[in-house]
Amino acid sequence: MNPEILVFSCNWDGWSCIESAVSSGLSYPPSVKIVRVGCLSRIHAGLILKALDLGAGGVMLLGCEQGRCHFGSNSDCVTPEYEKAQDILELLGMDKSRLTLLRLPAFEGHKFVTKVAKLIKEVKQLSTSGSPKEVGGESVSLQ
Amino acid sequence: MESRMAGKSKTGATKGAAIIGNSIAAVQAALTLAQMGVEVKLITNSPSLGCDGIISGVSNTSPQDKRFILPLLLQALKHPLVTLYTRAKVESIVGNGSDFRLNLVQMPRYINEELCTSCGSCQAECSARITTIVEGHKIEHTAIHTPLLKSRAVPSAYVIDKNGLAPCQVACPLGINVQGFISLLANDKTDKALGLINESAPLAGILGRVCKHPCEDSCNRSKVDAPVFVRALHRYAADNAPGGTVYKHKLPPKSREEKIAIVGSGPAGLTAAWELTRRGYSPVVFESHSVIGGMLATGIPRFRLPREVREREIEAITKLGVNIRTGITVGRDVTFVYLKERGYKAFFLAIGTQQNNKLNVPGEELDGVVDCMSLLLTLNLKVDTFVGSKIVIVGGGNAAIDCARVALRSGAPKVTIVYRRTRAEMPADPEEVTEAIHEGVNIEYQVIPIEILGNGLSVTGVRCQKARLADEIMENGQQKPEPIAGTDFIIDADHVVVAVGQSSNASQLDIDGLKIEARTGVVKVNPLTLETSVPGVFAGGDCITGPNNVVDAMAAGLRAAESIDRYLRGNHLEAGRSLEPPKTAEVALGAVEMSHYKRAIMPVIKLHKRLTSLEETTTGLTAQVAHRESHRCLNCALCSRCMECVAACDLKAVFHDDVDKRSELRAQAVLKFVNADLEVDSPNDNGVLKLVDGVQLISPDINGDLATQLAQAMAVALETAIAIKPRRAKKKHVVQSEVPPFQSELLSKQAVKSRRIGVFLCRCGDSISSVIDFEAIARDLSGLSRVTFIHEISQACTEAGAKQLAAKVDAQRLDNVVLAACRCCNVEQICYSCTDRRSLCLKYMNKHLISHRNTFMEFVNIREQCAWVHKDRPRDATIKATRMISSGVSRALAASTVLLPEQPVLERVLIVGGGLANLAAARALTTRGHHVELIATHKAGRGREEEDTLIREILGQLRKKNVAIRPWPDALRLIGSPGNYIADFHYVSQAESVAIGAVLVDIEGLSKKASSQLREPSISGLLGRIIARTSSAGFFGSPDTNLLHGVTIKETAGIFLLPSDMGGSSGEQILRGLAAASRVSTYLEQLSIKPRDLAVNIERKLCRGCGDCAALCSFIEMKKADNGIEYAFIDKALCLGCGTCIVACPTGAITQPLQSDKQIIATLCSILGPEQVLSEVSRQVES
Repeated sequence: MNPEILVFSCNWDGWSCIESAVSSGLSYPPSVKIVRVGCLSRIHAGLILKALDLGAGGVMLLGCEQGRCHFGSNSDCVTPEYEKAQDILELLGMDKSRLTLLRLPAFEGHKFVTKVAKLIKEVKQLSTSGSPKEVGGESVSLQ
Repeated sequence: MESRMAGKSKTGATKGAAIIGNSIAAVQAALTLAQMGVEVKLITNSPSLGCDGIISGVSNTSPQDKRFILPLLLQALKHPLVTLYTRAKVESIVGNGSDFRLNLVQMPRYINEELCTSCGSCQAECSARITTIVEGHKIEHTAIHTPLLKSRAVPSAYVIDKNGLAPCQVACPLGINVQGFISLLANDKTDKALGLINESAPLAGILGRVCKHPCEDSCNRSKVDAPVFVRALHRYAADNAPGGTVYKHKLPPKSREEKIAIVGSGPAGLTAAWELTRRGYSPVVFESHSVIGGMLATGIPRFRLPREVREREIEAITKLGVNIRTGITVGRDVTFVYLKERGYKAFFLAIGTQQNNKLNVPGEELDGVVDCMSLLLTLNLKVDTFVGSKIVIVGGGNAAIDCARVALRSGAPKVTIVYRRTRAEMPADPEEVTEAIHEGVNIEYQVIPIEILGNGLSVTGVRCQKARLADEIMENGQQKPEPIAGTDFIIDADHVVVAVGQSSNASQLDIDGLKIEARTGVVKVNPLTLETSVPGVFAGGDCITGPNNVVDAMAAGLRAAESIDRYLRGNHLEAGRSLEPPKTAEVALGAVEMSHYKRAIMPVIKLHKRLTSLEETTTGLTAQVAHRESHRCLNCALCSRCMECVAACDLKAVFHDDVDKRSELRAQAVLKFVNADLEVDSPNDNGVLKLVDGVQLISPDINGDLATQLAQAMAVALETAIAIKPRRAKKKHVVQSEVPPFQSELLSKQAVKSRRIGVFLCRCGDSISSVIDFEAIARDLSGLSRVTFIHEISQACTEAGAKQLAAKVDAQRLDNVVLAACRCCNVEQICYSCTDRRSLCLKYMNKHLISHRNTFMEFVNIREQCAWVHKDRPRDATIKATRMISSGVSRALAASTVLLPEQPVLERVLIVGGGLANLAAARALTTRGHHVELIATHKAGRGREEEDTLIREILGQLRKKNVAIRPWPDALRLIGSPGNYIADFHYVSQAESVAIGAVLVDIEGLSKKASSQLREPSISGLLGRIIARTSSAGFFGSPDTNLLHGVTIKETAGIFLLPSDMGGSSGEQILRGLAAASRVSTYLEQLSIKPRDLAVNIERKLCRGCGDCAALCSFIEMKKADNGIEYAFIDKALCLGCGTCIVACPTGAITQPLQSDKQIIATLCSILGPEQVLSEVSRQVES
């Protein structure tokens, strides 16, 4: 049984990676769920934690490479929220590796599939062997 | 078949521009011209727009360029003024100046571009795998395909690759679609394979055994190793089709009353009767024997053609309705005259050859000397026939070999064949000769019998002479064998069979005026129509050729049936018919991927079993071997016309008989884009298209980057627009666009409780529903509160689909709609991964539903995200789809009201900076008819003489046109809304304000200005914020993103920046200026703009004025209220909709109606977590 993975993907390069994975015949497990937003900078730590609270075993933030933002943004608004969410995870006794930030060029379907498989593997390890840092394993509730 | 946009423009009047080419520059030019109001005919020889190799992974195009190209192609196709002609070639252009006529030939696509939704149902059935070489890479695909890009092709309509007729089909006298039935066998569709064979000819089980297989002789695979074993596959289909042989009528049975008599029930007669019955006639077949089948029954031995097979095949023919009367000899039992009197209108003589030729040697009358036909007849139909112990057979045809083999099986210990030529000249099938030798038949080649010896009563031997091939050539083209004197020898024999051919005996028919060849006895006919010298009497088969074979006789039957049909309908017998074989497909074998299997071997029964019974020698291929063998086919014709795609298409969009279409287009200007590296432009057959005066040849700099190529295209488009479509100054600025804008106006919050939501599931042909269980989805979703209606739909991206959906929305009084299909958002923008069909889906939904009824729609992509990516796990895919659709329902419930009004655009532009590029832009925009305000100070003497001269020249021209040229102000402030800005100029002595719709800024000019003055000019307001951001962080509005936004989310700000690192030659600078002018022009000429769907809303009451959002976004302005309190403000038309500010806002003052936290959380609730009851989720969202 694969853990559920929630991918927050940006509409542009991120989504193009997912789409091109499908159109080139690649696949990823059905436990990978994708939520698409206009830009990854729309996602704040609260939404990331909500996904974990609702049962996602891991969260991936998938967006454009630095400098390739569709909106021309050079200022990195994603990393602060990503780090904030990681810090909160630590405070909650959860492993930081449940959250990953992936920046890809457009149409990199293969890389997306590889990386999401890696995240699944890591999250699986956490729930089977248990991370020394994690108190209650996968079922930690944030409420 | 029409191109998708055909019919949009009225033909007749010379209007608009024609653009020829397939490069991205050609597409850009088309889009730019269309945006300037010019009707564009875009002509490409490719089946889809743009670069053939893109996305398929074979193009060298960088991901960055692809991001731009795909949306551009979609925008061009979507534009209502662009008419696309795919697979089109311009054969000639006439005219000059501003009136051209283009003669266009459109090659068939075989798919209705308008109807095809690229659902892929046809592709799933296509078994023809073909290899295409694109940019040096081999790509394997099916014959029916979307041009390499799959669903990303623009347009995405499928196309069928055809290459004429395969050699096997051309070689088949019956015209059987050999490649077609083999490809059906390759897909394990045995019934359909037999059905396809039976569309051309009956008697498949017989042909599959005894056909002389000209198809195999012409098979291209024999150039590689050995031909495909077509005959064995033919037999496999006939013997193994689960449904058996079922012939189909072309016209209703007995719909034609004319009486037809067919004489002879051999292969020719049976086939003619079969075909005429299919055409609605009720022919009567007269057979003199008591068995049906002619030579099939009496001549071909049972070990080659078992009785059961013959009876099975003939039964299928009689089941069709063919009436066969045995035991009646025409000319003896009934006369021709009698039949005519009884109302028979047409006759087909297929009497074969009955008379056996004689050896004409002494002793032929002895007891024990028989003719081969009598022997075969008796051995075939009777038991216990006498066969000698030393049997000599004279002849080299199939009959001789058959006699020899059947004699062996009847117990003859010694069987000898004497033949006067060598084995190479033997007319018998080589396979049969080999088998005969294997079974023990002794063949004496180059031996001529000169006397049959006897003891006065019966035969005792044959005196023979050795022979050699003389130089003399006989009538049939063979060398004449001549005996060598003194080489006599005797072969002992107690039984001699003469098998030296048969001749016809047509005179016994007793038909007045029937001309018969005196020497051979064959009936004389017109070879094209098979009509004899007597009108209404046709003849075919062995009686017109002499002893021949089954397949040719059957072909004569078909030919005669066609003639008789024409004759009885009073049509011309010859019109449109020819004896010339059609042209055969040419195949470059080197480029074909092929199966490595060797030709299959036909399994045979053991030798001792063969010699002791009449059991069929061969047993037929096994399923596995047949499957493998069918994959050896090289698909010479590419598409095999197996017609599976026709059956698979819900929309009836496949049309195999599509032909070249010719049309004449008229245009005021013709632009031909040549030599772009991505263009696949083959010259016409007669060489390169001859161009007339006035046609512009544009060869984009293929070494330049994409931006340069596009700049060239935009520049040339602007010049063309200026020439053929001058801009008339508009008095009224507000123009309602035809289709009201997409508005997500929602019901008020109170109404949620009574909201009725409809869920529509798109089958996408069968591309979605073949994986996803719609019934299970409907079951699970029905528990969801507010979902009052769930409905399946075949293709949601068609206009018919949208209408159907709208009707259901009305009937069910639905407030919201969730459509689960391939479209993945309800936002009017084009992402890098958007597709033709997704964009059409929204277009039709807008037209019939969203804008008319104000129905809020959510789209959920269950095709790529569920059905395709999880196709191997249908159950999981279904569960995931259910949850994704429920998330769409949640989002619909959580959406809040948004009203997006349109804003008019002033057709006036402010140009800042006096560089050559800017001035070139100013000149072009003035010529185009736009009002230009220019800020420029020219200082000569910078050492660039050419540039300075040009600048002076342009400034002079601008002054002549009364363009106000201002010096640099001390301060410049831009305020107002997009399309309606106010520019304030502050000079030491005075201040001035002008109203403008757009701004073009030369960043280089600005920095030069700054360095040449003591004080940098103060630029404030929106322009100031943008420029400040550009020079520091490159945020919103750098030239690159400007260009990109133009094709994805559309430019709304109207502030255009020329790159700061321009440089280059004067020519290059002017080009860039023109390209910029072209973008300004298209912005101004859209007349009105509307905010984007994702624009944010800043709630002033909640804003505490911290400025965090404004620090991230130059479009957000910190304003001061009267009481001195600061607050953030954004003009909705400026907002790009990224949502960054929402995250930055500490108070939650900023919201995005279509992407609110509430909606995102609702989505998460629906798609995550254990199998919770979906209705709980929706209650959670509602509360």
